[in-house]
Amino acid sequence: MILSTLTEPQRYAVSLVDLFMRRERKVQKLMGRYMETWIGCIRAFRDAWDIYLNEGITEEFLYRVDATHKEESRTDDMRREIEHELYAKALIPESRGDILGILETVDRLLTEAEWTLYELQLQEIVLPDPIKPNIVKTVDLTCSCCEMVNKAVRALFVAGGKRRDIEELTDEIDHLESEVDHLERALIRGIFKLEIDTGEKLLLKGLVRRLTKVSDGAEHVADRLTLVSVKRRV
Amino acid sequence: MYHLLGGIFLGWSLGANDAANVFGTAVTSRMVSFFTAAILCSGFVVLGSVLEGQAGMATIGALAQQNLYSATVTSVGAAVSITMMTLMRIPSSTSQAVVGSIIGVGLISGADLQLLGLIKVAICWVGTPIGALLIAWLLYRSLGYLFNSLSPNIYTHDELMRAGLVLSGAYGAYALGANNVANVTGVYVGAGLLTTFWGMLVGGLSIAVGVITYSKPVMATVGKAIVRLDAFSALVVVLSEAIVVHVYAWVGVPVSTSQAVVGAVIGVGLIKQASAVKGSTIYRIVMGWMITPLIAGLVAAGIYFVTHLRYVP
Repeated sequence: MILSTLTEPQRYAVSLVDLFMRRERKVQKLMGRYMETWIGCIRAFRDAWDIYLNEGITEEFLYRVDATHKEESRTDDMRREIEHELYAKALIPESRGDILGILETVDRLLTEAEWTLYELQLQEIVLPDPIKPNIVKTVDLTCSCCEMVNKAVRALFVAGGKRRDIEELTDEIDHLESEVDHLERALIRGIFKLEIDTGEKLLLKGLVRRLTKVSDGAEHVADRLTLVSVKRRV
Repeated sequence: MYHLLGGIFLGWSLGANDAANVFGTAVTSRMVSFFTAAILCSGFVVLGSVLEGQAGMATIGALAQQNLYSATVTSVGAAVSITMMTLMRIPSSTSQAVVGSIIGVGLISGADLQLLGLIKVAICWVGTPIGALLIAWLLYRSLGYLFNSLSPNIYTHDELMRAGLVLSGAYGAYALGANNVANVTGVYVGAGLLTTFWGMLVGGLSIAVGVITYSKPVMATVGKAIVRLDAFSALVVVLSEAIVVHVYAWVGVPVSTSQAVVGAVIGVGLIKQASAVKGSTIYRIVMGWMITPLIAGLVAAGIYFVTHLRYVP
């Protein structure tokens, strides 16, 4: 809301609401900042994958992995701050539970993303050319899924968000997630047709499973958001 | 003036009991602290009593011929029965206790009872839960449509609910004062001990003291044991109850806020097609409604009888 466009009585009303709802407003701002950092982490994850797919494990790739880790750590700090405010009795109890639940699932998604990069880095995985196109597609779809999660969480929790947008966004997340599932099966089938060592096959399969857990997490977030939204529909 | 103590006692028990019906759900869902609720509730009760309590005063004062003595016995009989209900944590009806007492004292003392007035009161009692049910149904549909069109995010939703519950609670307290103050001091005004204004002020203040000092345990019962409502339904229930009670304040018949709440909860339940009220608790409340006037009548008649016994050597 732009304060300068308001009349004097409206401004007075806004300040009065701010006075009584200051904890709620603080949580709302923190949630906005949390989601900014969260999507920043996902974009760092995306950059890291792009570099890996084009150049392999380079200094630049390691720098992006580190950037992803730092962003993830920042989201952890913010989550704790939000939890602290919620435990200090911001919002009604039902909403507190909903926010904590969403934060938990959203946070888990970042952990999966971060560990995908660690698998690449620690196990020095080299992707065989035949499976690369499907990996590129999976990374694309996974990141799109996460962008949708960001929008959906903002629609429900951040100032100016509209609850009615959730349904469309969660449908889109579901759709993207099922495409990732198809690709996952195609990738695992492809991996086991490759003429490489069985150990390598299992490593690659593990990587694919880890990568697709990110979109599974996105679907989980979407389910929770739908539930929270439906609960508030009169 | 010590005769007034009976009325003040009754006002206290009314406040302790009925504040739960306007702020119970907001307090137990922790949207509003008990302190805030008690301050708001008592302030608006006094305001409602003083500004709009006169119509009920006229009705209660005219139900039976009162003298100072019968007025005191009526008040004490009603207060004792309401206090018993409060201690048992059963939301009960002060209006029915007062009318039960008036009838009890009237029958034993041989005073003229105004049958037409009693019939008007009884009709309004029946109309209270039905009216609240209809209003709750209409409000749920209309406000629900507006609310869904607004489609607020979770914070705006919370802010709207909290503000709505505080405002409707304050309105409910105002209506409670306007409607129920006649139960507290109506008989004294009828007996000529107080002017209408002083009756409204003393009645309002004694209800307010009851709200502040002893309404917390009953709020816990109303909020947790009777209804398990979401915030929007709670808002509709409180608002419907306030509207109905306020309408009867204009009509001039003190009615039960507890009956209005149960009617409104059933109205919401019809839309949600869910059992929002525990059957066993409703049974206890209905039993309370039936027992309250009976106990009040018997207690008041008993006090009147005992205090009129004379030693004959």
